[in-house]
Amino acid sequence: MRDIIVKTEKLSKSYGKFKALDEVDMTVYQGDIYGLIGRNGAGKTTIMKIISGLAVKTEGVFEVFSKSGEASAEDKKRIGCLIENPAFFGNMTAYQNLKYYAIQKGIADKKQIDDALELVGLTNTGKKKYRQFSLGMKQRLGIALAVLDNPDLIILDEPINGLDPIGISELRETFKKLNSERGITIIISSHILSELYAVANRFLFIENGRVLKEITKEELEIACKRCIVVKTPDTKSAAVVLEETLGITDYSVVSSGELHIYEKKLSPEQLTKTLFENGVSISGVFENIVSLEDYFKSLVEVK
Amino acid sequence: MLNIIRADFYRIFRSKSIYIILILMLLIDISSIILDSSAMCIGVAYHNDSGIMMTSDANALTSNGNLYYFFTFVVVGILISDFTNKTIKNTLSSNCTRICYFLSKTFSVYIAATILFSAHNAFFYILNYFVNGSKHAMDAGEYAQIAILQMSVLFGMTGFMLMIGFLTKNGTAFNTLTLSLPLTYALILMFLYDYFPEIIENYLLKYEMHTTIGSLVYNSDHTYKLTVVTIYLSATVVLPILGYLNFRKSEIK
Repeated sequence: MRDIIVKTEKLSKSYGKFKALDEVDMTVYQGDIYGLIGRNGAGKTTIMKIISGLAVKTEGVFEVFSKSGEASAEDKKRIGCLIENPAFFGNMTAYQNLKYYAIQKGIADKKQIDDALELVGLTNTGKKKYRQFSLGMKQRLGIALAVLDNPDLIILDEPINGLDPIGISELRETFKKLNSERGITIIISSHILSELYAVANRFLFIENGRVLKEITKEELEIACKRCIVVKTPDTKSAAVVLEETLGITDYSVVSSGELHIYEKKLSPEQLTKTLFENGVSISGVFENIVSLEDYFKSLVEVK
Repeated sequence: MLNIIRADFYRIFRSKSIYIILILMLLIDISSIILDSSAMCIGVAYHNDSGIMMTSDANALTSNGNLYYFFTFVVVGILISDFTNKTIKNTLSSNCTRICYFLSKTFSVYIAATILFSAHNAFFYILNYFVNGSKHAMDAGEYAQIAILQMSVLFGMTGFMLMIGFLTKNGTAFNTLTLSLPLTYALILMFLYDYFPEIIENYLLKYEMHTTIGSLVYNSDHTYKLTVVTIYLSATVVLPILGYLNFRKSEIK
């Protein structure tokens, strides 16, 4: 059983009468790349701020490294964060900014600064001051700070903002590498669902401060799978035809009047013909591909 | 905590601001000595309005209240810049707790203020000693004693700035409140003087920063000195804590 790195129970945060978080339950295990998915203002950043100690919860509990409440100074050194926009001193270079934080953290080996800059592709900035950086460069430096000192947990709030497609791809591989090679647990939020899908193994869907669903990648893959939807009043007979006549077992009975068939080689036309020939009455057959966005929308609409 | 203080001094000495401040202070000191000398014939000490002989360095001590404005730069450089640049979230999220942050910044400010104050006064004394000679300089021990007493006053005012810094967490609000304070306070006292002359004179004006700094130079009343030190050292400790009480629960944006 993997260790729990972050856990929240009924975590709530209110700003006056406005409830930014409403009884959020989430669990992040060691080694997870945990994706937070939600619209603007859903509460993703608020969760991250509470966990990292930048905001104070109103109700509920949270644990970091199995310890209740805000992490101690020692445990905070095991966390790397990039919350909202990256923030550094404009009159200092990339190296100087990281050196400032390296001194703060008591990092004796200055080679770690070079390693962090190399990881995010900022080794050649030279004497360029932070205020002269592009948005993408600023974002990279924020990520470099988050990975400085080899943390056990990295919290990244929309880290790919401002990055070009190649930069996004490189960063995706960096996150996977950090996770697989160093065992770092990553909590990451993004609007770009496809990017999060490509990198995370567990997801939390959140809307208006409430959790819609906590789901693994495997479950999400099933939910978003291409399938043929069969609407029939007689799902039992349809299931028999699928198994005995067509030899298909990769299907699910979604409700009393609907089946989803995931067999890739089967076409809707072929299926309709077979069911009709075997006396199964059908009211509709169509192909359905649930994109991540559609899946998210369906969650939002259901709630 | 020590690491955060070290990092602050690393950053301060990387910036141009500290060097501009130091050069400015040196230029003011040098011009003060030279102008005093040239105006009163070289090396001649003069008397103040009360008939007390004032050397250049004693005169400079009475002007130490102006270091208040330099100390605002110290607080801005060490604390307020963290809020305006939003770099505080980097420190708080992955390095230290809020109490550690508060103590580190407070100590950093007081250490920097001590260095600045000591450097200014030591430089002035030494330069005056060499330019005008020992006969026109105060006794070193007496000079140091007065300077140390004055330091408690300036620390008290620095405590006020720290309180404002942790309360407002905003550069504009901080600058508005701290830079306008001495003038605003003086205007209020002037306005209220007609109505409450005794209270103003015996309490508010008597222990006002500039008045106190000046009085400590030639006022030999030990009770007065003790009262001043007690008031301002209390402010040094209490006021930042008041700022922290608000800071510890506030959201970092």
